[in-house]
Amino acid sequence: MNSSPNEVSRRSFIKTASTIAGASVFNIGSSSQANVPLPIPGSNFKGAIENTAVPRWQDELPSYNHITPLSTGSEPAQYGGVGVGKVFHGVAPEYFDHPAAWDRMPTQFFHMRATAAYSEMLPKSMGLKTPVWAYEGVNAAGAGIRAPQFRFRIGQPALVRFENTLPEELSVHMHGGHWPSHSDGHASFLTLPGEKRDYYYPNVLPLIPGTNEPDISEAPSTLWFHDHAADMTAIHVNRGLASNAKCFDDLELNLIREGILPGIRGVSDTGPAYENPYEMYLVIGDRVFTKEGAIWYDSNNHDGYIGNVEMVNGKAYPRLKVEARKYRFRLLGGSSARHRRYRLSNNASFLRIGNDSVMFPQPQRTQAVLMSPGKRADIIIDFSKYRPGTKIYLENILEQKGGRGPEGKLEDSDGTTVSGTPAFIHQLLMFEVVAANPANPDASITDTTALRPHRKILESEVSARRSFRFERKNGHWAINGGFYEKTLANACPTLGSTEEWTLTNGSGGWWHPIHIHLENHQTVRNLRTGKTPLYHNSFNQDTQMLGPNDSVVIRMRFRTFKGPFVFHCHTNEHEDLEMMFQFDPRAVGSLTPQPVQQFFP
Amino acid sequence: MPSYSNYVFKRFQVLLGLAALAVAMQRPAKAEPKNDGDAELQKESMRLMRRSYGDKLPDIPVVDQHGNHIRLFSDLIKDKAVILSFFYTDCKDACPLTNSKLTQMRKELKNSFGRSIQILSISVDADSDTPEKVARYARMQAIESSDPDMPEWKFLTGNAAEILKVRETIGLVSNDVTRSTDIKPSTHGNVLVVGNQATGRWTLLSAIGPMEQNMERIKRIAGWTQEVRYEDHRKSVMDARVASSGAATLQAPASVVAPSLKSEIPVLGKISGDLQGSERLGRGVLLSEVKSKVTVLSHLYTVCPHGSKAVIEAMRSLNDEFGTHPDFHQVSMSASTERDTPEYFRTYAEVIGVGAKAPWWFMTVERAKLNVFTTQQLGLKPSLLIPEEERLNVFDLYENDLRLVLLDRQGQVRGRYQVFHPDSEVGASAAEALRRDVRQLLKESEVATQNTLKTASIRP
Ligand SMILES: [Cu+2]
Repeated sequence: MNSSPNEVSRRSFIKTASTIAGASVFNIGSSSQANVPLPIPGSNFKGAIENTAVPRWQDELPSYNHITPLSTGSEPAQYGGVGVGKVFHGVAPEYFDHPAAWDRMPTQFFHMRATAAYSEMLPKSMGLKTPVWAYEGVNAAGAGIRAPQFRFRIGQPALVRFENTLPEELSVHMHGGHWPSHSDGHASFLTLPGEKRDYYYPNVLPLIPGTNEPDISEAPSTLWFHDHAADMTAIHVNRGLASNAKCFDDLELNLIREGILPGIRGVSDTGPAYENPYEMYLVIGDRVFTKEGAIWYDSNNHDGYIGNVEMVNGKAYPRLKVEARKYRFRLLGGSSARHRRYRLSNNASFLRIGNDSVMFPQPQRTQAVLMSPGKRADIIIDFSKYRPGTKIYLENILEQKGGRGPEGKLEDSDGTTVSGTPAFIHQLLMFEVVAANPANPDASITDTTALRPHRKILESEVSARRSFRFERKNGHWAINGGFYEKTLANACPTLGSTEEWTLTNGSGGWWHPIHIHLENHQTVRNLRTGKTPLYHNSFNQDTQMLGPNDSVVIRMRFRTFKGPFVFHCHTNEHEDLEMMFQFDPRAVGSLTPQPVQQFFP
Repeated sequence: MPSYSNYVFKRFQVLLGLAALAVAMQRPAKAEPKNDGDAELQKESMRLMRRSYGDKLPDIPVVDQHGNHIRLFSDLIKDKAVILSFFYTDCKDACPLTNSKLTQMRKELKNSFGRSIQILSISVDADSDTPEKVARYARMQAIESSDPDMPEWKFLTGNAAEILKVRETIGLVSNDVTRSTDIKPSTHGNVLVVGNQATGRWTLLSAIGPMEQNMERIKRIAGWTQEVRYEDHRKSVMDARVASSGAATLQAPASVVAPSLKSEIPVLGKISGDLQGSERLGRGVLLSEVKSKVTVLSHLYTVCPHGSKAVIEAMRSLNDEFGTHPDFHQVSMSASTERDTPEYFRTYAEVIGVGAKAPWWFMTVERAKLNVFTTQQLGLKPSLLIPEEERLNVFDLYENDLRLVLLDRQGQVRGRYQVFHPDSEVGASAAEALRRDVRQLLKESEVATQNTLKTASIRP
């Protein structure tokens, strides 16, 4: 993500690449354990950089950077007014009737653009720079901040003026939050080349049903954003249009302030930056590279994109110095199709404290985390027991050969224990332990710490049931035999009601991670196995993994905002090729599909 | 509770109301690269984006419905905008439906693409679909058209194994678990593969999906210029603005076309001959008298019950906006009849408020000459005699191509605009496009125009 200003000529690109390909550098810095190199996926990538040609653990892990607001409380001069220009809709009218105190803190105003840039995705020693499409925060001086990270606060609205300087249409979806339809990043609500759009994130919580109390059990913490433009999502995200956001509420800030979650008291619990050296995103994504270092995308492949080089935060096989203490990491499955099961190379257990956006009631001790594309896992790793100099690797132990999905079944690898040596190990990131800084006391979180209370959706609340079947049809990806229609609301729940949906994977072996916008959902049971979910899948999620033939019953509420919103497979190629439907909460719902009630193109 | 509601809500309404005005005042956003390095980078990004079907698509030999032997990639897909459809002649359900949808799409695509897009229907049962069988099948689809702007439609067959390879390469046949299903001819369903190998943008869509959405997607994905790509989306933006904030912002059509996007107006042809006729009061005129001007020509039949009203209204609004520009001229062409005489046009022009000195000719021309000029030079369809039983009134003799034709200063045809359309919104957006293009052509200096004309922006 941190691109160096030095230009490297095309000639030396090729020279360096071939030198590296010639020497086997694969074992350098690698642990003694088995580490399976990833093959170049498919014959279409003939001449791609081999996995074994990418050196390990040379460059530091890039970090995401706080995008600072241009102003707080009043509109920045740079805007020239809210609701003007290409800005389609400034503020959603529904806020004015929202009974919760959603604006108890003054609005933050941001500026972000999408632009073409170079990124050093491969290790510096390869001398290759990758042209990417990137989001850039823009500061008051007009300078761009790469790898921008929003830090939102519940109760403090944010307005992001988004500017598209790229030659193709874009839509920014903020994944995992509770947003109005026009600012959600809907597939058909676009920002055209050269134009701007305002995204308004009110940062309100949905209300506890029947009350005016904000439901803190649903406060999101781990968000990310990425392009969502219809037909073009997969290639745009592949090019680099993805970054992330954290969201804080009183409960989480208190956990940091009291030293329970990792952080520095008085710094990490204080906005607008909430700087925290002991807490970071680990975004894992895979790519194929040409010999020149460009990302190689295969538009022919509708199965789902699989890469042979793994990246963490946009850097292939980086290293990270960690103090001998607890860290909080937000793992994010940033791939289009690759599922992974993460563990530490010494098989040490760690605490998982959240799934997708929301924290658990209390931590789960586990040796592994399984994640599909689009999913997040909030984890705490304790390095305090290791001597300085110790090296530990973050590994993926789930083999996947193509876009169809990983080998095996969902429940084969969904547990919390890893016994024996996995048949497949691929190391992603090296942690290098250094001495702890005594000035910053370690976090006190334990296996039994109370985190975020959970409010279970009961069967008695359910007022409607719907089923959706995800399958391959005519070489094309369908839901209930149909495809995405931008003017059709496939599900029309009554605003404020609760529904039970059955998501069925009918596509004979393909995996589909299903992401539903607007609301979290809760898993009830898997009809294929008859089982209720394991601890980490029994709370709020926004992306439901569906393995082959799985049929999962979920419950969700539809609150605050009228639709339309989309739900879709998060294997981006499946989504683009129409495995996407709309739901449209409205005053009076319907069990049959209806035209969408509003449209914010 | 803070007392925000009233204040903010009022402010919100005011802001929405002001949006139209503010649009006009806003500094255009810069879409262009910031420096040379960025231009290079944009180019590299685009080169990467182009890694798409064609790069790996097997360039197999195929035969079309006329018996021509051609190469699938190098002759039909390379640097072209295409819709690929799959069929087999014995198909009883999916194919007839797809073909009827394609027939409809093709007519609509004509306006945005002309012949710069083509439809390729490829047999998935080539062992049985011989070239003769495919030729017969194509004849049954009645796809031949004498319209020079109608996109081409080819039915292709070839070697079955090679065509399977094409379907694999396009991703319609997966090599994974569902291969045995994917491979069956009947599985091709109603899927269309839509894209533009020159811009590298591709997608799949279902032919039986909503026509309006499919048209939007075909233009957005396969369009040659941003104008074409986003024209439908911009229209929906305008509709939504009107719907959400009342008619006050209706005057914001300028915002529908981003000021920063310099449109590339295609060159569709060039006038080589002249046209001679009589202006009002019988003054003899030659079209070449105004050849250095930006000129809009249209048919005019004062009694035509079909759409002349829309045409004359579009012409009048052009006269209102550009009538004082020294480089602008309009010509209403009429084949002389008993009623539409030069003398009659004098009165007619007065009634609609066009003075004798306005840069607008009402030109009567000998029918045969007019037909030759409008079809061969302007690319309009020939006037057809309407069968007696279909006439709407006694004057309803000829069915005319009512499109307005825009000529630039070099006498090149730059557009044909369907301002009369059964869907009045479509007609209105064509009229708006015409005004926009006139505005731009008038702005371009003569020299600059000659240097920067991109005749390739729409390719034949
Ligand atoms: Cu999928």
